[in-house]
Amino acid sequence: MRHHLPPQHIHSVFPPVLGKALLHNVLVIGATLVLAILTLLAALALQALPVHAQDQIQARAGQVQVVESETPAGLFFRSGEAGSVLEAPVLKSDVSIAVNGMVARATVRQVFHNPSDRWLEGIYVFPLPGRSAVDRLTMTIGERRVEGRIMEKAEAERAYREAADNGQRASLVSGERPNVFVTAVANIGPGEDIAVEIGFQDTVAYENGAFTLRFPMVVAPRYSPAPRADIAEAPAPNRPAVNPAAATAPQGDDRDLFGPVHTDGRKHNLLSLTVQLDAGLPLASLRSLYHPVVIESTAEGGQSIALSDGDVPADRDFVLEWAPAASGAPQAAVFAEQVGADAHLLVMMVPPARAAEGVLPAEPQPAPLPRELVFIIDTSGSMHGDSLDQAKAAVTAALKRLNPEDRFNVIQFNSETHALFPQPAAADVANVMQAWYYVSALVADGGTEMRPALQLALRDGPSDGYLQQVVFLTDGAVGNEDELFREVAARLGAHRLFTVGIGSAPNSYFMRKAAEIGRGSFTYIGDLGEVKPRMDALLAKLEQPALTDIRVGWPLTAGKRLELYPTPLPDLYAGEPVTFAARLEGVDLRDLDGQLLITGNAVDGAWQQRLALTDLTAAPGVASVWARAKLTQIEDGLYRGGPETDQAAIRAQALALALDHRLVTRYTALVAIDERVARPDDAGLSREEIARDLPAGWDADKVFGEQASTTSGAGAPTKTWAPMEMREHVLPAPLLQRVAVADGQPVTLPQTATPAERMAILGSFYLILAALLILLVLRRQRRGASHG
Amino acid sequence: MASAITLNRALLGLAALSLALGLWQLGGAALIHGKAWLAQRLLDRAWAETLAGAEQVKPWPWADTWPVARLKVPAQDVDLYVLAGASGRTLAFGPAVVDGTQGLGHQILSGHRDTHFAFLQELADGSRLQLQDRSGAWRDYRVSGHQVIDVRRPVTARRAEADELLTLVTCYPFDAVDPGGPLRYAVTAEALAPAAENTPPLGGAVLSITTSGGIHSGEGIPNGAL
Repeated sequence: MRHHLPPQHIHSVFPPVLGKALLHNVLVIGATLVLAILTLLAALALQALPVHAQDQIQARAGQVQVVESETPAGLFFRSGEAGSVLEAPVLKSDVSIAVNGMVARATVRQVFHNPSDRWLEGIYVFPLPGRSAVDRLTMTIGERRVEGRIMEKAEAERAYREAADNGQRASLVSGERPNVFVTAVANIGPGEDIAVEIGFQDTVAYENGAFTLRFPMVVAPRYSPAPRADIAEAPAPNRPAVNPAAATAPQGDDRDLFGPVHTDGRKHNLLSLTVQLDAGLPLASLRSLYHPVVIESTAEGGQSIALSDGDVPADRDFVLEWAPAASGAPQAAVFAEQVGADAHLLVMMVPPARAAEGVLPAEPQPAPLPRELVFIIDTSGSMHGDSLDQAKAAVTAALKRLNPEDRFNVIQFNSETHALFPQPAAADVANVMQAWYYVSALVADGGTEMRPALQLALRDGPSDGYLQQVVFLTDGAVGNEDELFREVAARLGAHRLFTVGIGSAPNSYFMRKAAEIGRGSFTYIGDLGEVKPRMDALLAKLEQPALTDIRVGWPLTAGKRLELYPTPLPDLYAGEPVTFAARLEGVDLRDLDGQLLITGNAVDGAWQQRLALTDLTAAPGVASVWARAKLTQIEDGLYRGGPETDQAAIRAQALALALDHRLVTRYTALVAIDERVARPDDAGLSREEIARDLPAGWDADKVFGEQASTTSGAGAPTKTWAPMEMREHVLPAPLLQRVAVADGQPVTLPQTATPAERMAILGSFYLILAALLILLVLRRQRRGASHG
Repeated sequence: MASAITLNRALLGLAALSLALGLWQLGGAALIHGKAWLAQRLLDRAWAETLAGAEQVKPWPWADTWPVARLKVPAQDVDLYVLAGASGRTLAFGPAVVDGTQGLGHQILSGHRDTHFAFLQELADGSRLQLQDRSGAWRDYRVSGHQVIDVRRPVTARRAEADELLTLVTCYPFDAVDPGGPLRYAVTAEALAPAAENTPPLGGAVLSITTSGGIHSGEGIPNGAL
């Protein structure tokens, strides 16, 4: 019964392991060196690439022109005259935002510099937050300041055109979309700077205990589907009215419906940004999600935030997030402004945690009703790279939260639409694995034809008691928003649409409005690290609305004539506050007294909360916020009204409101005209569009490249087998156990040791004992005999 | 005097008792090893008959098991008959096929760590095994890995095609005195079929603990347990 030490080649024994470890270290160091050298070589190779890419683009456009080898700093554009290269104005933007509670007042200062020796007109397309109320334009030439006036859009354009032709310096700010604006500045003298200041009002979002301020920096290139015969002309002009010819006549540059885009891989338009934050409550955290910032406390108890890099390329959204300290988390806030005889209120109220409890589970819990989840993934060229990785990770995270009772489907679209299953399929092992393979294999390329994908997802199907939910992951880089909104409104039925904005510069207006019309909610993912928490929060929301049928009761002092927007108040999901803006006509804030009563249906029954209308926080800009909310309500009529919408009536209402509140809308524009004539009669005026940068992480070839490959990922892999480790990564917990059984078989391994060893030891012990005893007895007997 | 004689008698009685107990225990241990050895000798004939086409040939008239395969490890001079049904009684006579693994395409054999499968602790990765089935065909296997498993958690056997996998399981640690204990030592071997030369090795763990997903590989054995 010898028990051998195990042989050295199986288990660790000191010397060989030490030798192995040394060898291992040598290998690791060697491999690291080789990798470092390779990385260096790759970086060198990449530096040479942009020039090469630029050549390719020019070659593709078929208008190869001789570019001077010594390129001066600045931008180059080809004018109508073939062969000549013109210098466009250089743009620099400075953004300053002052946040007071939930109201933000921002000024975007755009400086147009003319580096050339001729007179220029510069045109720049830029984004603003989707709910911004643009109400101010100031043009600065040297020391002189010219204030802008609000006008009906066509009239404003005519005034601007006349002034420009006349040689007067002029600027025009008009809206192309609620979140896309255009600045045109005419008669910038040689070497001269003209600054345009655009003032707007915005609100800060509050959700899940954190405030978020989002400032977009660039309008991502948009895809416009080919015109269709069966769609009525959109109510708003789909192309920039400032320069209609430019949009329809490509000049060889890469451009979308909003104008040219830089595709040389470099960043041209710089932007600086500062935020003065007066949160009004003690903060637990304050951070910028995508830009490094310097934060300083100010004497007034607020914070001053600036980009630590100073000027950054305008190529991705700036997001500032702050959370109040737990004790100071707001339950309700009312901001007020008196304009003339009318009082304006902005009200935010967080439903008590009790109402939100149970819909924000920390762990996945079975939903009260089984769900039918349809994921739509945008695989168009604009999603190439980081964005698609984020979308894939998001869907993978969502797949893991499926319950076995759920049904699901995955739809991808670019120029074509393809669904994984013909009908939503049961969330069983094979289907979830298949979906995972399908999602993993997706490739982004081609156009952005969203309509067929939405139609497929919102198709009427028997709900069979399932909650029908559509999760739409996209960057929203489309130009036909209105058409898509109408599509969603018309087909929604029992479905709920949840949008997930992906990438560095998502079209936030599209995300918000689509979710609003789709009666769902929206979220953003701008970074791979955000995928899991954001998707978990979204999927928790998906389980059911936390608060429905919300109504507001007013005290008598609020007067008889009050307008509240949005009407009706939308259903709320977990973590979302009730937010609305109201105007109390003919009421003085000082006379306001009493309490608001907000009621609604929560998961656990009726809910109501009172809110005192005394000691209100004064916040300039609330009137603009209210006007913007009303404008949104009016414009929503375009999507909600159905085919017999009276567009003329909507236009008239919106125009009156916009002129009244000096708002830039799709019907109005701000125009500033200098009275002096600056440009001599004999000098011509060259019109130059300033190209936008590509959003961070975008690949020019995928956005503007030939859109031939539309078959990407269309063939669903059928393999459903995967190693256990992979399944653990993919499958929802309830399914893992089933996989284990399907994949192998539970076995019971029998006891495989005998008591032989123990018996041998015990037996030997007894034998030795017996021998000792016998020896003892023998000695005693001998001694006894000798005595006797 | 009388008291001395009484004491001597008592001591003698005690010695006799110890002798009896010692012989009983040693005899039991010898019997276990003897049975293990003898049974394998008796199985020679039964296996020959099985290869000749007989079904469920009992090696001795009162046996409740029969040979189903023959396992050889040429490098260690091991030659064992594998029995049907890995019950405690069967395991005394030879390694046995674990119940419920028929049709899995993955043969799991269990044997005593101190008799038939004592050789497992010296079986290095890469060793060759040979298994003969009832038709008489030999199949070569190569040891691809070993692991220590805790059977207090549910253990799942991986599915494979056409007996590609062979796992030998015994109790662990090898030198424990007590026969109980929750740990098992599993050696996995993959079939080396001439036709399957170009298929990549499956690799990885073959038995896994599903609740945690954790896999205890051989390298993780603490030195103190050896």
